[in-house]
Amino acid sequence: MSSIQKNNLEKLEKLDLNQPFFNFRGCTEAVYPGTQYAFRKICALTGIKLVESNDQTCCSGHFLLFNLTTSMGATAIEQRNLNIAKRYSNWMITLCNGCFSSFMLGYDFLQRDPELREKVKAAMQTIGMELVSSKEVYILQAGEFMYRLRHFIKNVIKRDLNRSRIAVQYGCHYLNAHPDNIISDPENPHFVEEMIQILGGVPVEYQEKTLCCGSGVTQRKVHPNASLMIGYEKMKSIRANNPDLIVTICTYCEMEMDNNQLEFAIEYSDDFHIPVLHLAELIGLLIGLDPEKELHMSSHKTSVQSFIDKLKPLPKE
Amino acid sequence: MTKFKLVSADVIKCLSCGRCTGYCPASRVSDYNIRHILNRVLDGDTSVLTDSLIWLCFICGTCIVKCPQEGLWPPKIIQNLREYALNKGHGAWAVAHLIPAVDNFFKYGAVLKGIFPVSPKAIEEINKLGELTGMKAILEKRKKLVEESKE
Ligand code: SF4
Ligand code: SF4
Repeated sequence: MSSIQKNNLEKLEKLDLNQPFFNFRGCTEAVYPGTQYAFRKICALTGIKLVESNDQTCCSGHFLLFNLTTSMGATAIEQRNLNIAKRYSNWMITLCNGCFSSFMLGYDFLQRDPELREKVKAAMQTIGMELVSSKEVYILQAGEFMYRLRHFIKNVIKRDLNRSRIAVQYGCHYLNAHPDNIISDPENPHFVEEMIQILGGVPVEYQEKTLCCGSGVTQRKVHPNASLMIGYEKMKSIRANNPDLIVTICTYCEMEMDNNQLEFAIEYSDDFHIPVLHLAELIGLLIGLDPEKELHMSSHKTSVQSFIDKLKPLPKE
Repeated sequence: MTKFKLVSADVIKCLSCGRCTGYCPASRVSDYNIRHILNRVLDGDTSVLTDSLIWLCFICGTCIVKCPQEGLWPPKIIQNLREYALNKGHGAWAVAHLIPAVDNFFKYGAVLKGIFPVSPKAIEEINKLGELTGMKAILEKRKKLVEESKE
């Protein structure tokens, strides 16, 4: 871990939790509604004030990555959302790495390209907004935020992980896109593993931990075979270490790794049946949320039941 | 280089060491080779624009972390090439799938209708920004290209 990432970690550990945090909504919450639900509950239980606004829009990140918008357009959309967040908080939290890296990319453009900066500034003024800097609204990946809350979370869980073996997926757009803005060594991340240990589980290491999940933004649509083959390489490496569960900090990776298992069965006649959960959903199960009514576990293509069965039953109320 | 003036000037920093390719997921499963593509750019080989291989990058950023050269971002160069290719009329097949999502974005403020509530004011504002920043013009241009490519 470089000194930059160490500084980021120190900054996170010192973060004042008595301020409001802006909860940025993302498109993938339509797929796994339990992730957003669990995140809000975790925050409520640990005394965190989350703020949301109907004035935010989607991040528009994948339009830029597939050349359907201009850098200026993407930056302006990000800046608009940052203006909304700034009304409530200096911290914006994202459950998806796609949103996370889009905001970072917008900040990069503003910093590197003075001409773009002036044009975006002028565009923002037409809607009565200003440029927001990365010092005014800091983007925080929800995984890192939950790590900051780890000791509080440990105090509010109703059951622990019961020595379950858990493999972690961090995701490329957390690790690689803006390594100066994260608390992890992009080549060897470990904060989620530390959290798993605190919550009573056994983290499982695997060779391909930093390999792409296969999504490639939307390569599943453009190059389905290549996309599936990459996902397969990753999944085989995970299975070789015999985990009960895969946990990820990114809703997009979650979707890819969950859905892909159906495809592996069809395309390669290979059944995996390794449940995939977002870290928020996993903690949701430990704090006692109802797997179906609250966490919508049936929205997962790969059944999560085998994992839920491994956990100790919840204590009677 | 002049033939590729839209491509990030950072490409000249490339040492051709191949570390990027060694760790590239797309290279593991296809003929995609980022080092070769960067070499072709440096050689001024414009055929790279019509080469479907440029669409195989997964934009995972692994090469950014592995590259010994500070500030050299291969996926950014790939995106520049794709932009260049689209403007020359190539690659509609690779972007067509996302166009409905952009349309939804301007209509609903989200890539799908009703994922979360979005205020009418927010939708009005993104449409204004879309006009002012050229985002909508690009969308129309891409739609036209996709239509023409179908014919
Ligand atoms: S790792 Fe960097 S310097 Fe080496 S070939 Fe790739 S882009 Fe060029
Ligand atoms: S960003 Fe593209 S070129 Fe770089 S490692 Fe990933 S797939 Fe390969």
